[in-house]
Amino acid sequence: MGGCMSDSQDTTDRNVEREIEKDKKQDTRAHKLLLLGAGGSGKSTFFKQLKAIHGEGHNDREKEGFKRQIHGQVVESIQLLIRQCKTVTKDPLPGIKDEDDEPFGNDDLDDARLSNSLKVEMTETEIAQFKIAKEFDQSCQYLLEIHGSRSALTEQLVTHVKSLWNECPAIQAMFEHRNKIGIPDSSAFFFNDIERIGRSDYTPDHKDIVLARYRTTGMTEKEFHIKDAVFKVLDVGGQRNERKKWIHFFDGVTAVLFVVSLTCYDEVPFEDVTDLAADVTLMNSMLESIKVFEDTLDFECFQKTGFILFFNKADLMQEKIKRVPITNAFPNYKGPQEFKPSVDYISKYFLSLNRVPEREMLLRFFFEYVLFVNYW
Amino acid sequence: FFKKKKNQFFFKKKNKSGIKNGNNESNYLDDSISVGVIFVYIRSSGSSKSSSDGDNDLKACKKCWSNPTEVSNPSLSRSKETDERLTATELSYQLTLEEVISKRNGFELFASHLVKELSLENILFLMEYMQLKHFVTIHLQSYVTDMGYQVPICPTLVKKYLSPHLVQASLPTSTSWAICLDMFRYLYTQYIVSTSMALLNLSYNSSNTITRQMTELKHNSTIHALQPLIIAFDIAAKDVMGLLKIDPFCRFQLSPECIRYCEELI
Repeated sequence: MGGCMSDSQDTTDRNVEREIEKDKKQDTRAHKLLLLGAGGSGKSTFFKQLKAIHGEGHNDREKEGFKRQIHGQVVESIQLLIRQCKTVTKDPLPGIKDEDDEPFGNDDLDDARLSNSLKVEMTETEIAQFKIAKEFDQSCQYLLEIHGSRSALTEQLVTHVKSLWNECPAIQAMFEHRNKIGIPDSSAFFFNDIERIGRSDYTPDHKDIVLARYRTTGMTEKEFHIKDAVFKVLDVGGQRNERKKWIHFFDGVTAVLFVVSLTCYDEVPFEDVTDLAADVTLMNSMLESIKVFEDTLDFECFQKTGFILFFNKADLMQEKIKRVPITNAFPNYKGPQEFKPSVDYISKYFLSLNRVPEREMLLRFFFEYVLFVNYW
Repeated sequence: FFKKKKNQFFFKKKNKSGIKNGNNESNYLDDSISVGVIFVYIRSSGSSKSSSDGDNDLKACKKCWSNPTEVSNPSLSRSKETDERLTATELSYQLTLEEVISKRNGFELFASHLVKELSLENILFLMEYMQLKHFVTIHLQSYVTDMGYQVPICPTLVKKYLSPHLVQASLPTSTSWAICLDMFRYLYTQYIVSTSMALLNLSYNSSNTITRQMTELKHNSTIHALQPLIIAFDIAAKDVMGLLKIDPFCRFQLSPECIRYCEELI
């Protein structure tokens, strides 16, 4: 390899070295903050917030990207809703070759995860509410045939989504069970605003950008200058495969920002989403979050690292707590089914997982798009 | 340098499989080999200055992964926006993932972007799966009614890194099918099983469909299993494409590398 070095490569090498030196100097100056947390907890959302407030904001080109992500989320969510309705009512998908109907062999094959989850039985009347009426067949077919996240919402697409979302009770009924089928809460916001979002001159505003939900894969980093301090914030993906990559960033971390979604105690983790029959008391993202948090605390290199726990989606939690008690994930909780005591319990539970008393632990709460409300 | 190493990666593995397959041995796809090569690939493409003195691969690799800034090209400076630059910027808006990966240098540029972001497994899976499909097209086409989803990766790249042993026309069907099965098993252990090194970010539906098909092979491993296998892996491939489009590709479009790529296109 050495033989093929040319002069130009030499210069490049020197440039590279200079760049590394510069980076090293910056690295020692910057505080490295790591955003960790289970999938869907809001790490990237937090990252976007930081960028909007302490960074240079989002320019038009980035907004173009967010627009596509929002469109993708709309299409994906409506497709999931239709599919789940069809699955539960055993209605064949119109005009689409149903891949699940292929001779995939016995369902009683050793599928560990399926046999582990106790199925929740449904009565026929319960099933009937998910039946999509005939009049929507055309819309369903049109929407299911869209492949992948297309770049633009066409006028036709907007009409179909609108009619399904506003006029089809089955879709609404299914959306009520979004926690089990992996549909983000914010999809309702986008469905309701579908006309605005579908306009050709649509540019996402701050709220849209923050509410957009998509999976992150890999890692992004960004430097923030806040007053005199430099922070290097790393945003990562949270699904199981992504967590395998985390260990590569653990060097020289100033603090770990661990994000927990407060509402995830009845949500099925992305990697486990099957259908309505899922039992959320056996597997939910809160249990997953706890496990991830414990694992992260245990890392040798983090024994002296400060942790900041961010409890996210407090606004949604205030609504959810009225319907669902936190005993799904915390069976020992005996307090009232109210926001404040439940959140107190959750935060104390997380703090109690820390077995290194001298480690600094901070608590922060923030709301989906109201920023950094200091709850205490 | 980057290209050279990559050649090695694809070639090494496929070549190995090719040779051993000639002898009809089934366990040629040694995990440790391919995982090792992935790391080599990542390290080499990551940074040119990380010493290649045969030091602990993982350690060096970790170093490089944790300092992605080292990767970025230093010669890049924010020049004044010329007219050409503006149009290049406009063009980068309109690029699609399919367009980028269907061109050789586009594919390589995007792959090195994924290296920086630590999500290379996505494109590697697509590449290897398309190589498998290419192999099926050559040898087993008559057993497949529908080749299914094609990721438009630059065809010369797909072919280039397939071992010539695998492309030669004179393989008997039974051998071809054995090789093909091994390729599927390799993809499964490399990307799908929850313990695999290069695990993909897949939904339960995608990974479970594949798992079911792979378990089915225990009962029935005749060539009739080929079509259902393709259908099952297609779901995962679409899943991966969707993920790439929605997250890393958006950042790729904003990167200076992509703008420069667009300049060249103009």
